[in-house]
Amino acid sequence: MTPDLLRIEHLSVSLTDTPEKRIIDDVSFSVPPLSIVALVGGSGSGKTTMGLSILRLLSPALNIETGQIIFKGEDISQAGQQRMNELRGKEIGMVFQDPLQALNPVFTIGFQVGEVLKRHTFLNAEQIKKRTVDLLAQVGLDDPARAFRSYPHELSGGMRQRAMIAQAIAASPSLLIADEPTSSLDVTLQAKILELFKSLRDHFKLSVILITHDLGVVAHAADHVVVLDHGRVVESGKVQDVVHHPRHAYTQQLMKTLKV
Amino acid sequence: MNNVPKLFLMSFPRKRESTVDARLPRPVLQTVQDGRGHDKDKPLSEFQLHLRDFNKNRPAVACVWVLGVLYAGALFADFIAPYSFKDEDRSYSYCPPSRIQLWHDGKISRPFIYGTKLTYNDLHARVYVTDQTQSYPIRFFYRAESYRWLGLIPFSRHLFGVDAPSRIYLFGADARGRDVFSRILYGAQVSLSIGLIGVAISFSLGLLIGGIAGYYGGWLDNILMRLCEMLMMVPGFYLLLALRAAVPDNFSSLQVYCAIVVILSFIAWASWARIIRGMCLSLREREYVLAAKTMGVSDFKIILVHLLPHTFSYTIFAVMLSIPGYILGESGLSLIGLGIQDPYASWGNMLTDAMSIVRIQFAPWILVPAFFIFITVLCFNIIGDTLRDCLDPMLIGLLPTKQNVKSSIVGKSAGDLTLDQKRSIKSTENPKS
Repeated sequence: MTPDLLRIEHLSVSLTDTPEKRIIDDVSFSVPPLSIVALVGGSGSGKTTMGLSILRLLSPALNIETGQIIFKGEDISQAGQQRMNELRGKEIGMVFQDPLQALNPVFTIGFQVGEVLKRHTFLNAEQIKKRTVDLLAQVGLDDPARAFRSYPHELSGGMRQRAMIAQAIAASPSLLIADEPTSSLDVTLQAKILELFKSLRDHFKLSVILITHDLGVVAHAADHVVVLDHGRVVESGKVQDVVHHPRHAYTQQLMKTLKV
Repeated sequence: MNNVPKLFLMSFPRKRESTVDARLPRPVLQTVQDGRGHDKDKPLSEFQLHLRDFNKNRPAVACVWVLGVLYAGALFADFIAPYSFKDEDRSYSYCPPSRIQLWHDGKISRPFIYGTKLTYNDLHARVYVTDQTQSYPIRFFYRAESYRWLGLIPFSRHLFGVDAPSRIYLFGADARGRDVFSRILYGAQVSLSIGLIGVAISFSLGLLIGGIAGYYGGWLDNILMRLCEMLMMVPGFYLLLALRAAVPDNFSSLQVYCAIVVILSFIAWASWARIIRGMCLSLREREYVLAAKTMGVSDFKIILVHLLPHTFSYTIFAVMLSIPGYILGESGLSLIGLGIQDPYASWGNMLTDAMSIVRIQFAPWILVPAFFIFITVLCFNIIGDTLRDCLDPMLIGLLPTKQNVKSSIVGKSAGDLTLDQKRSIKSTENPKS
């Protein structure tokens, strides 16, 4: 049994000014290497907060109260900003729901993907450019050279999401947190992006935390599922077990909405 | 096409019918697409689009040329000016502008000027009369006093000049017989550069402090903003005077110049910082800032790369509109004798003479520097205004361009409307934005 890539142990996140109000309440789960773990839950269940607390980018209104975030054997729940800045991008990447919001509109895709490489590698400008175009090709953009010099608004939604993914995996992190990566895309694109995650997992040897409210996405892509409700884990396990034999009432409800 | 009633067709001549932007909502899309449609592989960049909008505004383009000429004049002042800024001849005190003559004995000749003679009129006032017996041809590339261009290249030719003992005064002479034209060129070096350097310093300071305050927020923001408010509390010109009083009297002219630049920038950065801070407060909540954080980008780089460039559509025209403030500030200081000191020229201290109405009546040409200040300030303001119109994303394609005006056959087109009307139309047309 290989050690887990990421282990969350009894993590609680609460509001800074009212500590009794917990957004995440005693959550524990683990992410094995080369796996896709889905965090499922409705709005306000604490999925996104979970993702951001792994990166320690919670807004000042929230703070980690108790618990440990063990990444590659190191507890990063209390690590300093400097250490976190080394990990962010280099070891843990993040993909957002709306790439149009998450890409800076005044710079080209090439610049923004290259920025990550500039930060985390020692490549020179020439190599960065070459590597960026390679990355854009690897995430399935048809004309990577053109995408390289395009601005975010010049690409379609699916292409933007791919560019965003290229940015997140640029420095070859071992963990990718995808926050509702498919919610702003149509169904066919959703399937393609999920396939992309699977192939990236195999190709780049990374694990993915897939944050979603859509059990269809989960059934399609994930290996493990963690169902969150009001900041608590209500059910977790292998995807076949949870999706096909949901035990908890909340999960059953979620499944029902899917079937309709 | 065939279904259209004949009468209707007649009112739309075929040639004009084809212009899509006959009605208002169209030009918005049309102009943007026009630019992008030229070459599918290489769409016009945002900058090129703005440049195109700017170029359509004739007065603004003219202003750019006027400023270009003024700045070129300042750059080549040593060469263009026939005399140095301190070259004085008391016997020509308040000599009126020389008239350049082209006719001699009924024939056209090379340009020359007549000599002048100083006499006194009935009221014992000094008057200059032209002495037609003496003529002095204007010599081009005249070898006169040697100088170092930009303090580097030694040179002794001037664009034009006349042989001694006569002197050429294109804009007349001041009290000490110095050439106003030459002094305007040398003064331009001070007055025009102070605006650019001043705005560069205060703008960078404002960007940096505003960016830091806006990005970090909290107590740092509080301290920095209270500091700004303390600066802005004091009325500008009095603060200027107070700071100037703190500068020692025995400074050399270069030191005084630097001191003025620093003082002007010191007063102005606070308002910049406040505006930039406000913009950064909203920009820092954007998701791409969070995305940059997830990639481990440092705070300083986030401010520099992900916040400040987004303020540029505002700051570019705001810079243009604020440059006149520095020019006027320097002129004001020099006018009351606290800025650039005689014999060094600045447009402000050249006007010191003109504070007496009697002297203006006697020698109106000493007001010429005021005209140059006026032109410069006007040009910067027109350019700034035009830039604002071009950079406002709400107005792209809606500016009164030649194309829009021409196509205004039916009803009102974009060209006939005021900006407010266009804004309201734009917002009803696209309620989301």
